[in-house]
Amino acid sequence: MASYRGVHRTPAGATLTVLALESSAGVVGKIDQLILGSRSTPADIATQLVALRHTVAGTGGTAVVEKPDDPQTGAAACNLRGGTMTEPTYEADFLLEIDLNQRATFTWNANPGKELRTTVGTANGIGVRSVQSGGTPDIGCTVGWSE
Amino acid sequence: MLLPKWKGSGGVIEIVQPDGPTITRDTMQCRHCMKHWVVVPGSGRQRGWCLKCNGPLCGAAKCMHECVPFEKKVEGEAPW
Repeated sequence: MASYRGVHRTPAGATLTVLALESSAGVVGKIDQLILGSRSTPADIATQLVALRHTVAGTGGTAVVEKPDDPQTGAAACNLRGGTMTEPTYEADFLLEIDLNQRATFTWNANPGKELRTTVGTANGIGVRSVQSGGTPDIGCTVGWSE
Repeated sequence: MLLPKWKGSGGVIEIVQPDGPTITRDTMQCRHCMKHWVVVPGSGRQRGWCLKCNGPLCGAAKCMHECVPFEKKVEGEAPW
């Protein structure tokens, strides 16, 4: 099992994806870490972020190149997509909700066996999305996963 | 029986803030939909426990009414 990390930042707003992990045809990703923060000038701006499962992948945006934890590991089978994009089709139920002041940094670590797993298939994945925000601060997201 | 902490919870969150203490909380994971939530003792939220999966449930109606472990859904054997 190989583990990877990917980083991207996107301005917060209404229903905007920050970073999405997309499955491959035969491999699922297991998200075990999320780190969220902002590099913008400190301000008391609240943003509601959620992790959601999607059933139609987004298009456009930025293809984020992952980094394996072990440099000897090959490229990941899953894809990372970030930035302003044609939004994926998300399910209604969220997997994790994060209500965050822009000044704070949020870290979530899953315990072994409790990761958020994507569903197999290239259309499927899990995205971190800002649902609403009091402004448009840059939201930086680091996602760690194994596959 | 006392269990190691990681066996009882789904994960842990940590919030670092400039003007206050670092906040650390456990999260639990639903055995049917994989949702994680922060454990708030005494919150009054109705959750559940699946006797087949031997694990916690988030309390959503679809998770409470039928036992479909998320492993089946991830493999495409059952719809989300």
